[in-house]
Amino acid sequence: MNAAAPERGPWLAPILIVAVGAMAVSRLASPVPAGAGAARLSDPGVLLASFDALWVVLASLPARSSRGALWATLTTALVGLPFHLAIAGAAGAAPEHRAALLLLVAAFAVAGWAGSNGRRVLYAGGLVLLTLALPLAAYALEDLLGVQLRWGLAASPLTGPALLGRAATTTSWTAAIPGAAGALILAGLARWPSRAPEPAV
Amino acid sequence: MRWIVATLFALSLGGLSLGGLSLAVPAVAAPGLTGEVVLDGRTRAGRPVVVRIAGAVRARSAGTPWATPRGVARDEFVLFDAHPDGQILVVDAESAETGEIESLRLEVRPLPTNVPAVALLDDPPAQVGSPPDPIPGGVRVRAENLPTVAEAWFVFDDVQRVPDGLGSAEVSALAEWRLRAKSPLEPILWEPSPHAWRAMSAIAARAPTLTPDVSRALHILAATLVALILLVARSRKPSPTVRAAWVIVPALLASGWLLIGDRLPGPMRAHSTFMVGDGGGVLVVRVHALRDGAATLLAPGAVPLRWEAGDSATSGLTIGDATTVELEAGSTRLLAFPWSIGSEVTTRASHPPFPAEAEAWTHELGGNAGGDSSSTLIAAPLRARGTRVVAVEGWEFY
Repeated sequence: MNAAAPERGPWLAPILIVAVGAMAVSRLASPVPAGAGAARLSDPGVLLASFDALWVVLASLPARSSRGALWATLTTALVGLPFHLAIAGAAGAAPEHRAALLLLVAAFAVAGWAGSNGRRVLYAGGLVLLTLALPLAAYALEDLLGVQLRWGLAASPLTGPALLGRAATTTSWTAAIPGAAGALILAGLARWPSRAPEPAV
Repeated sequence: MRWIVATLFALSLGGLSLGGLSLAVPAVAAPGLTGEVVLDGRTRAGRPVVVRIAGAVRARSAGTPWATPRGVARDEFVLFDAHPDGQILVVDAESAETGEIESLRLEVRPLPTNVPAVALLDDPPAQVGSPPDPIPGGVRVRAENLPTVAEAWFVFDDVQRVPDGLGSAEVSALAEWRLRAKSPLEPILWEPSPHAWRAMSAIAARAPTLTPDVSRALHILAATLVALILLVARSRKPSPTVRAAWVIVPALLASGWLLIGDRLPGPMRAHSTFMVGDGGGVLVVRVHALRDGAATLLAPGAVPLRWEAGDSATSGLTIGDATTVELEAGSTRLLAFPWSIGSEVTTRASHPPFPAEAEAWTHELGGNAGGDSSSTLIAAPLRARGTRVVAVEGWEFY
């Protein structure tokens, strides 16, 4: 294999976003099924929360290599935009919701790009913590001890967009701040300087 | 010194007197708006009142939605649910010249509701106080300045002695009224009722929220994007920038297409359905605000539907050649548009079940509604600004 050959482009994450977006649009353009459960799954708010969560999580994943990582991340982030606009339009999302979600996608895409170019293992660990452990911990603390840790849910790329989608008609762009802060911390982890080897005496 | 004091005294006296004079002279009043209720002021409870006010941009009476000018001379305003106080109807009108709201007291002559009213168009005009006509329910109306909007004639049950030589606009308004007044699907003749609201709520609950054109465009985009992604993912030749551009540009173009041109519902969710019968049809639009906002339905002749008499179901509406709906989050409005049989209708397979709530509504209108089991009637969607009206299947009324 030629080592100098350019890396192939990303394909799995963009295709996943496009496929899920097309399915959601198809659901919203069809009559609502009669059953209560199926009708709930056709609810624009539920579809918006699910699609946005998937979009932000995939945008935060690091590229396979650092070469062309910026364009790979941009591709993943931007192919979801028309589908997000259509689903958010159906849900009656406010312009502020659009701003908040775009801020979230941009922040996690930057984190994903930083993760592609930096300490990938540290970044991956931080991403798992932020995506899964933090919302689980926030939920458990609230459920067991009654401690409100709303920001713990809002900072996660998985639950943050879902929370935004639930309040799409009334949300403010500031609701994206915990998520953006989480993305900033992730990017910082990826760029954390590794300890340089001590010079031999 | 004395001279100076005397001069100052005289000047101050003169100034005071001039000031007093200027205060005493009344300001010249700007020529205000004048108006009249058409058809010699005839009104009837439950029917729209059409007023003619030249130089006004909008008008309303207490409890009615704002009306914008209609008719050939753009001076006729259709007021729904106006309630005259005895022989006087107070109308607020906004002057096009000054922008101020002026209050006009217009004389009305209410017709009884318990007997049929027949308009007898007199030419030459009858004198007020002339002996009653022998035709039962006959009401003499001057054949001058007749209305050019069909809604005005709904105060009568019949019109006779139509003279020759009426203008084409007057004749066409009269002809339109004759067609509409016979139809059970004429919304002006409907009583306020919750059945229409329940039916439209049930229809909207199961209806799509995105229109077929948006769905089609995004499916074409999805197929294109998947093909491009697979193509550039396998390719090593172009640089990452070029490969990304191949995928990003179509996505950005599609986003722009969605945002420009009111292709998405926006703050309002609007659904329309319709019924067609032998004598005509009606298109009913339900507008529900998901958040505070405004939208405009680009069709003339809207009739607001009420849940019950005197409710607030017409607030936030401005009705004229187009209808503007300005609502707070959570509010709903129902508007009916008289709809001619010639309107565009297509059929498609797979007929959805007829909602039970709609059955109660059609029974109230004195008929039944249904459709061919193998096809569904679809009307051309109503055009709108600020929202997108989703056209739902329609039914035949028999």
